[in-house]
Amino acid sequence: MKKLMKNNFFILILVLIIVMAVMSGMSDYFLTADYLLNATRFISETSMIGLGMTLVILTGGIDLSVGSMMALSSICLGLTCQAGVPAALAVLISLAVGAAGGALNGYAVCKMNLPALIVTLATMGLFRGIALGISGGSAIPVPDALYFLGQGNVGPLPMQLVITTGAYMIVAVFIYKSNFGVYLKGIGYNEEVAVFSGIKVTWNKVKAYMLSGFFAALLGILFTCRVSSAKADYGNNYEMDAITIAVFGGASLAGGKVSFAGSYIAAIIIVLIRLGLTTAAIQTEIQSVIIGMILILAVAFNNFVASRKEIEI
Amino acid sequence: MYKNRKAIKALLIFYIMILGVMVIKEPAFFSFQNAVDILLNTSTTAIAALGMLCVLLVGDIDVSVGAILAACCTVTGILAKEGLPMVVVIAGALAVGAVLGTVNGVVVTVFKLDAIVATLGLLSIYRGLLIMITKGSWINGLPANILKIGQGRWLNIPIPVYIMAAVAAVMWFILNRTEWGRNFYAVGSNSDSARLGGIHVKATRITAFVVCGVLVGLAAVIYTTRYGGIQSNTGKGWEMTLISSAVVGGASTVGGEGDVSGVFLGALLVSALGTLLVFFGIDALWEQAVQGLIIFVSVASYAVDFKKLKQRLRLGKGGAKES
Repeated sequence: MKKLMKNNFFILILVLIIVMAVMSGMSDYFLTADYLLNATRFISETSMIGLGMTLVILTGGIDLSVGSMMALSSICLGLTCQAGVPAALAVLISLAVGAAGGALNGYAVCKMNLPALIVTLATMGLFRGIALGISGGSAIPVPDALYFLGQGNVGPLPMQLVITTGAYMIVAVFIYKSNFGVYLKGIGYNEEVAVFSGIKVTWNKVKAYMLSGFFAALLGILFTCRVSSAKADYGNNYEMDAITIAVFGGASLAGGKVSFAGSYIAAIIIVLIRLGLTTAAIQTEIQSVIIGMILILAVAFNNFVASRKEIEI
Repeated sequence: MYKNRKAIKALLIFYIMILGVMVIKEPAFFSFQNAVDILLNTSTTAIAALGMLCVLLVGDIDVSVGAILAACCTVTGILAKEGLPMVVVIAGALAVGAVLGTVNGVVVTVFKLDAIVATLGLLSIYRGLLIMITKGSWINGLPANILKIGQGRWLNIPIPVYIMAAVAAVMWFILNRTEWGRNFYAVGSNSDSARLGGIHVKATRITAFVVCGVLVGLAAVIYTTRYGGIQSNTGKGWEMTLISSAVVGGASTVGGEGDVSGVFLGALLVSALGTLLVFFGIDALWEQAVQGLIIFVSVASYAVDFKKLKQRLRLGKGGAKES
């Protein structure tokens, strides 16, 4: 719990409660089980894209290619299914494509010592370009057998919610309870020191990028199965959402400091704000202004808290 | 500087290769008309990419340029439709660019935010505000005299090409021959030593953002008058084009590296890509993939020598890897 408190967790919860209160005041539907359960589908998708980004930011990098990777995995799923590959295998292939794309990012960032921003900017174009190119820009239907991934339920809970929450828990356990987390944190704080401490910097960083690609691909699959067809323009600007979530959740872009619980809550807050504003029939343009302001204020606030802490020490 | 020379060399080799293939494959490529068209397509990108270069030089980045372009285009369109003189229209667009650039610079430097996050947030704020103000409507039917800027020709060469050449010359002079421009390099290379050397670091960084905004404003004037109409989603994803132009041309995202000739060659490559693909008979759908690939390969190729350098110094990195 101490770990959680350190990362602005309580402030996030407070913001969440305020958002919930305001939303339920604005619309009668809001505080109904149906609405909220349905909302968790969108929330889970958004928090999934933030999970990989949080991992990469922990190492001090950034991954702009997540939205494009989501589209590429979606197209891979569609094309492999169309080619008659069994559905389960098609899912595995898409996930492998995600991990491979992430490995490419990681390799370029770590082995070639290139700035993550530029590498992932390039692969952002590359992945989406490949998705566009191989799909010809058209939508590809996916078989009914896969619909349960995007539209099904586990008990009363939507599939996405279960998968995303599971993914968050697994990652959080690995980060907080295993060496992997310590290594990534060390790399994020100070890469030189991590090298001298005997941490396999390259391999651990590549792993973080691979996981980011993997989760983006997983999201691509879930999203495709929810809307029942694969298309190359999915996930446009999702990298912006992902960065917003991670930073709002308490991550420092300098690396070494993130909060997975924070990212999860941040995703809930942002999606609820969006849904709430939509339900209240507020234009999407105002929504984009509000989300932009949240991002800037969140970073400014994080910096403020960080500087206060320095003074206290 | 070293990396930048390398980038320019690599780009020149790449151009010679392309031209060599074209001689054999498609002699029609070598027409005056085609060369002029490619330069015309490059003009807006090159002008704005030079602005992006300034921001990159001081070690920041501006991803809100697409929204600034849209805002400046809208202002150009509105002022031109009011029938105001050309000078006022241009001044208006540049002023809006300067104001938005100042906002970017102030938010980044005064509030000490990461440039990418701050401009990302500002990007969505600008876009949202713009669409709220314009109600998402398109602007069409600009008066003929203002369209001359984008569509007119002098000695059979389009006016935007002259503007681009003038901007490149001015920027070259500023960056290489004035204290003001050298300060950009100083701040980007090492902001601490720049500060100790008596440079006002914050002011320099804000100036870079303002220059970027003004040049994007100028690009917006050309853009608007060239196409004669503006959609509300103008410039979506344009930040990527500018950043790739600068980076392919050898500018570094950590600051202090890059120059005008490199960025011009980079912008030329990025904007000529569409034309090249047509000549190579590749579907336009692949354009984005090829663009991404070229950025990736070019940036990776510039890095190769740094790697060797690192191997020579080594600092124990190899030891950590093998353990």
